Amino acid sequence: MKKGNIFKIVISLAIMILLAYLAICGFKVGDTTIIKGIRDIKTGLDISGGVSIVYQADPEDGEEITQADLEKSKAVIQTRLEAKNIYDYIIRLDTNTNQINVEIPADTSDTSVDPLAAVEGLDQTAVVQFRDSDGNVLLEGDDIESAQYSDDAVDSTGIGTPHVVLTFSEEGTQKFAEATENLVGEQMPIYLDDECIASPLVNSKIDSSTAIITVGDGTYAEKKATAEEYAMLIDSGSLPFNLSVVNKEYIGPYVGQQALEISIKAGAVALILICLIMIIAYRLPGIVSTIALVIYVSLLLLIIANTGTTMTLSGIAGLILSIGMAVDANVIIYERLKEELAKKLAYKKAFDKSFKNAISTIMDGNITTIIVALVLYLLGSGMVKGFGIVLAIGVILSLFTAVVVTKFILKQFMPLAGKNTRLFGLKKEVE
Amino acid sequence: MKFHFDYIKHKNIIFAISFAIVICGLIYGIVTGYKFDIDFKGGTRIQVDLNEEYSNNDVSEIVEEVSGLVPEIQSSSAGNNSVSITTETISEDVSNSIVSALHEKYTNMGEATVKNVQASYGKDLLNSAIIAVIVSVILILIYVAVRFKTLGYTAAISAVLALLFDVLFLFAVYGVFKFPINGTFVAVILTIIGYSINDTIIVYDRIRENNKLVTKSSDKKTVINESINQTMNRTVMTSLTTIVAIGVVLVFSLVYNQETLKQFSIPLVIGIAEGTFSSIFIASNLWYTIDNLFSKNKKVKGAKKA
Repeated sequence: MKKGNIFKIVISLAIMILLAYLAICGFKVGDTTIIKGIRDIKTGLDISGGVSIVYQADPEDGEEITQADLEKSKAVIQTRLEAKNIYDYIIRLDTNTNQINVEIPADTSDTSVDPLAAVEGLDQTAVVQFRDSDGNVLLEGDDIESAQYSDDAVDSTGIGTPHVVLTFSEEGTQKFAEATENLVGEQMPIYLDDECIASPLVNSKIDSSTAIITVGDGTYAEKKATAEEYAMLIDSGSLPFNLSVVNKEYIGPYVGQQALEISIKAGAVALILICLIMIIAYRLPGIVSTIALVIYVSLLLLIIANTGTTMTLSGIAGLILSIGMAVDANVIIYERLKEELAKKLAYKKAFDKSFKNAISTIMDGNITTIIVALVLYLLGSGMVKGFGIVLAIGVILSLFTAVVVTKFILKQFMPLAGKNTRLFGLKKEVE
Repeated sequence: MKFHFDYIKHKNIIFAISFAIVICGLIYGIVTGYKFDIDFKGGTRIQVDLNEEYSNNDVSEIVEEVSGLVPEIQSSSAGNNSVSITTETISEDVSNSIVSALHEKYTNMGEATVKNVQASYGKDLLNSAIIAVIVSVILILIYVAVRFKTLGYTAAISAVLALLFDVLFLFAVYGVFKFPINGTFVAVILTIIGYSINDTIIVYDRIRENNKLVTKSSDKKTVINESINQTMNRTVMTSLTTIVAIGVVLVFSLVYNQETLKQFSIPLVIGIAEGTFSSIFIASNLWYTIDNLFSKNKKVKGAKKA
């Protein structure tokens, strides 16, 4: 082994230790968390419990609430939750009492965050209306096809301003053109749930399928939050009736309070056992895969913690599966390497050949799994989505660590194979 | 280690035993009934603040005594003593008598709310899982058919049939062991599908590679047997490490008596072992059988081997 090899191995070890440290402890400057560690991972409803809110549907006088209405409300609430990046929720309908029960995860130990903030706006009917100054409705809900948040510049200053871009339907476009033609020189207030949110002045007839709503005063961050909230509410569609909150309460975890702690402990023990098995079976390459595996798990935990991905029991299942896949990639490479070394190939050639062959195998196995993971993420709901996202992140990441990282470190060790193949798990008889 | 086993030769006995096990399990499960969670079947939930410390077991016993049903007890984390009791759908009379029985023991308890829960959440979850699985199976079919073109589309069909076998096997396991059908079940099924397809692909990959190497004289039978044997070290190692990982979770869940983790890790351990089995013994054997069926119909190959 040359000095360069040893240097690269030491660097790899240092990176591994750094990543593992960050994953366990995070990185804080004073009280501000710069990098979130394992303790900051958001846990789901099933693991840490959350908030349960029961909404009562209040129909307009004399109107019956149908099952379809309730289903529609549920869809709207779902869209609103997902717009807030909450995928781990449970919505239950009770058609006897016309109640909707929403459960979302909440961290009750962190007093700086109001756990109920996440459910704000869920019960807003979100009816958008363009009116004239006499209060006559010119355009409403169905005329608007979509609403999107944007912070492009809206005037000649070129400075980005948070606003909402509304896209009208065909009919809406026509109505908008007519309305603006009639209102030149007047104001055209825009209402959200009977509250005036903007009062633009109409300068000329506007024949366009889009319109923008800029939001009032405040700092950039305040405007951004308001504009995003409006866009989310309008885009999710309107609820068919008013909802009132009849019950709010905290609920305990479904899986038992200790489940997360036990999973973490079990995960640590499992990781150690896997590494031991790999070292016993493959000797030196086993040590290399231990480094790669620790880097993998650390990176995965860092990504999960810092992207705010919610960890649920199904997420843990996805995590275990992806660790299995990561180990699998190493096993495939090492089995190949053993085969090639047994053929008495020069170590460089054996190394190149085994990686080349193994990568095609690994890719096929991983791509099919990524397909499954992405479909589950895109089409699944709730916990199916949670499983898909963790599996997708995990498998893509494991391709990197199990192939690139392993290759880099193992390459540094390969000169040893020229001297002693037993270090690589080969038995005497095979040599 | 070197493995020398003739999988193809024993395929009929392998098929017979494995299908018999699955079918018996499924029949047993259906006859004795599957256990569904409230969100998958609907039921009644009673929520009440007991205003004093309680144990889940005490509450459970009271409910069982009054109603004869085994409830699910969920405690609140917010420091107060409210409890949520979930049972099968029960009449107002029964829920009233449960509430008064609780009141006898916990005299300071607050007002109880009783509500009926519909199965809509569970149905949605199952539907979403089923749709997602069907779409991903179709995509896997296409991917395998394209990437393993040299093996013919019969390879893709066999891979998917082997997956179907895995899913049926898990249903049998849930029927026999009476694990509840709930969100955990969905997660387990998804994990096994992901795991098993990977295993199958690895064997296919070897078959494809060996197909390129061998001379025309070696037949399909030898290539399949060799490919499975060559990848056996890898299959055993990977399954071993994964089973060890979940096995640790299982041991911890038994030691700490964590019901949900048990429901999660026991089927996973069984499922991973079975997924490995099906990749070795079912997928390639199915491919051999199906491919021969099609070949015979076309009267091209196969005659020589018989």
